Amino acid sequence: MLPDFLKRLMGGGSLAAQPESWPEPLRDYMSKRSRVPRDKALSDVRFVVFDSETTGLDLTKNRLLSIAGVGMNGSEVRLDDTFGAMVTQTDVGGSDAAVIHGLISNDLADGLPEDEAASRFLAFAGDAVLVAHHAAFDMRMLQKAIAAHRGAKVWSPSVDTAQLAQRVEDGPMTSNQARGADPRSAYQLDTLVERYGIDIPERHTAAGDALATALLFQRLLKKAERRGIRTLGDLLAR
Amino acid sequence: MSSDSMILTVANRLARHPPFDRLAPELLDRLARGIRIRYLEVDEVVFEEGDPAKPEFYVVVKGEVAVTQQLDGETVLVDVCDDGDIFGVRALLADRPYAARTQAKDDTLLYVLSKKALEELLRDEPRVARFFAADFAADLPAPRDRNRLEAVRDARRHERAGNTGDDVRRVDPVRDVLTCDPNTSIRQAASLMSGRNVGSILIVDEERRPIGIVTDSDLRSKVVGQGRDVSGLISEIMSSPVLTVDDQTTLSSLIATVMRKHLHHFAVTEDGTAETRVTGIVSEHDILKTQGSHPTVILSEMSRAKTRERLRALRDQAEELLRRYLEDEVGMGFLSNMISEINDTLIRRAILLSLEELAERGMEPPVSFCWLALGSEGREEQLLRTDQDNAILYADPGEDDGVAERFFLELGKLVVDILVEAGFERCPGDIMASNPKWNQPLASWKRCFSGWINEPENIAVMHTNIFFDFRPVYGDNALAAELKGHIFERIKIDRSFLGFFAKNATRNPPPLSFFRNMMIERGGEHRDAFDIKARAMMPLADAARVLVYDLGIDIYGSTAERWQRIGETHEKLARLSGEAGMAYEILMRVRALEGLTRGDSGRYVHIKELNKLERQTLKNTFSVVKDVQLMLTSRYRTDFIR
Repeated sequence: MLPDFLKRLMGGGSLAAQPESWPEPLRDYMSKRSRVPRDKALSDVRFVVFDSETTGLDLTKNRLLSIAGVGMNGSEVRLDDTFGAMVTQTDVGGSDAAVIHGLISNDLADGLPEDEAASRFLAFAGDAVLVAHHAAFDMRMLQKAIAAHRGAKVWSPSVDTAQLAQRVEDGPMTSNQARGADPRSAYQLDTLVERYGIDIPERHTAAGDALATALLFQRLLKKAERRGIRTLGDLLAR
Repeated sequence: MSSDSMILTVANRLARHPPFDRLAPELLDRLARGIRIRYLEVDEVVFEEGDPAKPEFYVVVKGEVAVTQQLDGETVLVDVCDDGDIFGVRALLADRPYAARTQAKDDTLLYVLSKKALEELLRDEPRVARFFAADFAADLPAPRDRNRLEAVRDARRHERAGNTGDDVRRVDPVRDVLTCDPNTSIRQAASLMSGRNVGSILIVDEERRPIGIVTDSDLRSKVVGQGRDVSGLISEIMSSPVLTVDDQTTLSSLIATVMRKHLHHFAVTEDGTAETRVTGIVSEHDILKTQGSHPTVILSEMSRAKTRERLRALRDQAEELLRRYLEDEVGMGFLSNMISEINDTLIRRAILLSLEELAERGMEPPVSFCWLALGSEGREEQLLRTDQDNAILYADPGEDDGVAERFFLELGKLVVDILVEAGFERCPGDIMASNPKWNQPLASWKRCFSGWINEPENIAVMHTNIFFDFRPVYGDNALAAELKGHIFERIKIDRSFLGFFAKNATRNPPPLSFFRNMMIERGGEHRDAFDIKARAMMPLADAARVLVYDLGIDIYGSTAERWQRIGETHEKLARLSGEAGMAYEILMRVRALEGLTRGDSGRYVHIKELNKLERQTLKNTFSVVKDVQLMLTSRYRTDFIR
């Protein structure tokens, strides 16, 4: 085994994938990479609904604090299929996220390195379809967390519950703006959870928000089905 | 944040509803880890009637689920499940197809739990077993399946241990205990006792360890009775060794010892053995004071009672005891046995007192006779003092110019009067031994029953219920046995009678369900009170009576005991009988508690005063009543009898 600095010196192309240096769970996740089965009926799809808590909302500066996910078989939420991990943080002080999430530094001392937490989550997800509220943000956080591992990539297809809500409530062609409502607040998780009467007390933790999002997604899937969205392909179509 | 908080959220939600509200946190956590959450839109179906049972059951967390059955091509609403209701268990455990269709009436959230989770729960948590017992008694796990009633009683005992019943209640010993050394004279000891006005003295060694005990009755029998010299040593007359206990000994084990050894005092020592210092003394009197009263004491006092007032006072005590036992969740079988034993003893005492009175007037029974308890007393189910239903059956006297008739009528009147004074009201229908109509020789009783069996159309419905449950309480049991044999023979010849019996048992269907604080009737109307006697208990008691006479089961037992025998006799009815017997015991408990609370017969149960667990348990009995009625209808084709 060559020391890291020699590897870097020897070059071999800084963009080449180096799976042997990836954490084991990440290798596992990458090995499952496959084409998205677009014909698959939604009731047969495994979804992993997740939420990540970060030090803030600025992708370039902020880091992962924790991540939690729950599996779904079609529209059924499974508590026998859950994931939770915390990330060790050394530089949290002063961030406003600590206020939002009610986390204190002590809680963050135990945990995994950021890349390890993200890798384990991805291994848990496997070939499931990832679901999150404002998914783009969480997907980019995941990608950023494993960025150090060259060649590794978050390849999972993803569904954004905020977009899906808009789509199944109003249809693809209409928008709330036309009716003068503010689409941003109308499709925030808090608003949707209240609108759908979802009662989850542990909000604003990764686990609480993941469960709330799962229960929201459950309802949206039913609505989607009535709009003729039956396969994974239908669901992922934009 | 680990996913544990997700599990906790779900566990807390589940714990809002019985029976999950009584689970230990570890069990709840284990259960929550296997939950699947399902969301149903309006009209979505969970399962169809006739579908094979899935290995899962459902808890409604939010919304409403309608339970419907197809009857004669019509859809009939049989139940509505709302927050906290559980469904799908019965078919699951019985491994038979679903008996109904379940469909969301509203947007509904279900927690789906696995069959395995349920089995583990029944195994690890007897209280949960009891919760499901009303509906699913026949489905308890295998080892205990042999005697389901016992299994459920076990569960109750287990539960009771958690309350402050006798099992955990402790006697407060007298700490200021009177002691003396073995060399004290009898005279000194006696004067110590009378000086302190106590009934006993402990003889201790120099270390204050107990050696023996002398009580006032020892003084009476051994000193006064035997003419012993009072200057002798106390150690000559002491009872030794003394029974020792520690101060953690429970009341129930003390009572057991008192009854077994006929000893009335215990020395309390530091470690419960005679090797340590005496710290106190407990007498049977203290035990009774703590316990209030005890069935064996009431029984023995009752059989010695000389006056009617005393009988009444003792029966009042029994009622107080019953109330506490009911609240302590003592097994229903034990309770009804205890109360019938007390009632029987009271009746026997009343008969003996009456016979004495007649003897003083120079009247003796001319022939042998048998006192018959009828109705609920005949079934040994009279927990509360309700109306009297009784009769006298005497041997055929031959030509005697009405001597027997006059004697037994006089006896009947005297006994009924005493019973009235003991708090048993007169039967409004005058079905009592004081009525010449129900005070007859054997031949007349046989004619009477033959008539009822031959022409069932002509008898008042009430009579079948009351007379066919006769049970001998005092006198010549052979007379009762002969009458019973006669009835079995007549029924064998004319089975159409059973159809009328059965029809009677199907007259009152149970309500559909409870919904919130109302009872839902089949017609859709709602009520807030429920006639538990007519709508649930009588159908089960009536059905057991039909089957017992049909199958020739010769017992005088309670409805629960009858169902047990029916299950043993007729394999096809085993499951249903288990459920019915269990349901009946639950109904009896509900009724007795209601009656004690309201000071009435407990016949009308007020739904809004029941807690969720009680409502669930009660509701679970309805489907059993309905199944029993369906069974009777098909077995005896009661539809054809109009």
